[in-house]
Amino acid sequence: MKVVKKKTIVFSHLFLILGSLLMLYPLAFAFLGQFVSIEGFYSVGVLPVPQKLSYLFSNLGLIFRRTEIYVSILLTLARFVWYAFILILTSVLGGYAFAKVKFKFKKAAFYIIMSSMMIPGIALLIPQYLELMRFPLVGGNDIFGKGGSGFRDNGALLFITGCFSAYNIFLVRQMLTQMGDEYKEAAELDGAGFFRIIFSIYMPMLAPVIALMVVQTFIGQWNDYLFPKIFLSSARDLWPIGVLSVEIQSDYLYTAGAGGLMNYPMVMTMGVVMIVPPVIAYICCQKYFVQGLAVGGVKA
Amino acid sequence: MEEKSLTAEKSRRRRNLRENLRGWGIIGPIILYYFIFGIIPMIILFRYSFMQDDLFLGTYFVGFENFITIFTEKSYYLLFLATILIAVFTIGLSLVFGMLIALAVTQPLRGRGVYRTIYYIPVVISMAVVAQIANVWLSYNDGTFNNILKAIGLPSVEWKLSTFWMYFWIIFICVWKGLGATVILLVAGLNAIPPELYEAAELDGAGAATRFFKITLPQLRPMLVFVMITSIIGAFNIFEPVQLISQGGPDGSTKVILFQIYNEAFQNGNYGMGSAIAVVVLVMLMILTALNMKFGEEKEEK
Repeated sequence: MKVVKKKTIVFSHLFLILGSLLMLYPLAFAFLGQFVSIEGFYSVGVLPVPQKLSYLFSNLGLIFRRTEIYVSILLTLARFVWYAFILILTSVLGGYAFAKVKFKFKKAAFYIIMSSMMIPGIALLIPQYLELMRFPLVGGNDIFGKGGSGFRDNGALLFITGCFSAYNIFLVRQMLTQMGDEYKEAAELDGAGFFRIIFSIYMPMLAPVIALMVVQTFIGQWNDYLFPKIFLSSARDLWPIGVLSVEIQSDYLYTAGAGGLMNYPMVMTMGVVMIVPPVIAYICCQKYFVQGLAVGGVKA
Repeated sequence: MEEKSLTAEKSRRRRNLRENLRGWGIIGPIILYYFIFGIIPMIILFRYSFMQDDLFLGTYFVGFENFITIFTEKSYYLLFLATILIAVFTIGLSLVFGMLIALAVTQPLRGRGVYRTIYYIPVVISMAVVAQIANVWLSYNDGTFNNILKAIGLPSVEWKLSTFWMYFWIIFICVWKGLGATVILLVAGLNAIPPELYEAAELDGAGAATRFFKITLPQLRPMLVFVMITSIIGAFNIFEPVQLISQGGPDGSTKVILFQIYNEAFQNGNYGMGSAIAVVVLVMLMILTALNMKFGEEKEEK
């Protein structure tokens, strides 16, 4: 066991506590800011001093009185369920095919799929947008994608792109390669079918990676901002919560309410409503983040 | 005998066919999907980077004009400078503080799991929501920071009209948001260093600084390269703080690449120019990824 000087320990604690305070400061500020009145917010110092609990409830009331927020949350949850499902399906099946099935041109197919990791999302924005707005046979388009409006303002846009992840396929393949073929051979002797072997024998062993995919999908979908902001810019009724919340915050940031004052506590409450779910999801599933990192080996 | 080997051959062939059907049955659709939503968009991107959009003339080819504009016109190459400036500071500060935190958190401390959790929390939070909260602080007339300054008798600061302060806050938010991810990677790298190396160095009487520079840093190099590359890719994706806080200002000084692509294409409808910028970014990132792979291989050879 390595002996560490007491001084080092004390110094490390001090440094980490100081850093933690800085990391948590914006969150603490937003959280406490909810309990302050609109006028009271103008005399807020480094940290808001809570005044009354009821301010929070009236803020929450203002947010959840909007029907659009429920639609938006439902849409976000629908996206989460769909993407969790399709990503697990493509990752498990794809990873299994590359790890355990012998087929022609497997290596070439593997490199083709892995090459998708080379394309940064930033390069896909414009062409995917152009492609989807001119998609053949959608929204009145003819077979050449002309004449209609394609997927413009179409809710299907929220579910079309990003249905597989090369990195996740790679991760599952790595894990399955390490697991060996004994399970498969034994199950085949027992007469288990192809999909049965994948879903009832190998998939339970992949549980940590799948859990990680589910949590990451939730956090990603809950916070998704850029994609719906661009692809559905004029369809407010189709905005997921990541965009709608920011727009609601803007309403209170730049439009003065009664008395010519900005309702800054509302910005805080909307912020906290957005912050809490992903943080809870992360804290509950923390161990999978660490495990997932170990499996991936962070390919460095 | 003859017949038996014939049936064996037959069943082997049938099994081969079955495996091929299964493999391609799974991989085929994925490749088709990738072709539609990955490859075709890339072709569209390159095609559009040689085109321009005009309200009256429609979309027409202009050859290399977009690229020439990017590299010769000040407002365009400044985009890259602004992005690089923000990237250099964000990555530098994240690495220095990330390293200090990682070194501290790998000491045998009580409750170090709690620290790790806290530092990672900003990573899972929406950047846009945080930027909106920062807007409350930075407003000139009634922002929290100026209220504090007024209360202690100092003049208010025009945060959003000062290039320095806009850079400062954008970099601050980016470091705050990404630090936890850097720490987790560096901790993984530190834990992978064999402890025997330190024990041997200690026997030789090497001090803490010597150990850090002679053992920790060289051993950590592949991980550092990986962190650098992913951070640079991340820096090209900086968007929300610029769009929501500085709006590219003051005077266009904080316009970063993704913000400009967004403006060119989706605000002004000039998909050609936006595509050309995206192509330049794509090429830059591919060179970086290739460099990363080269560094990774060097490590394996050793």
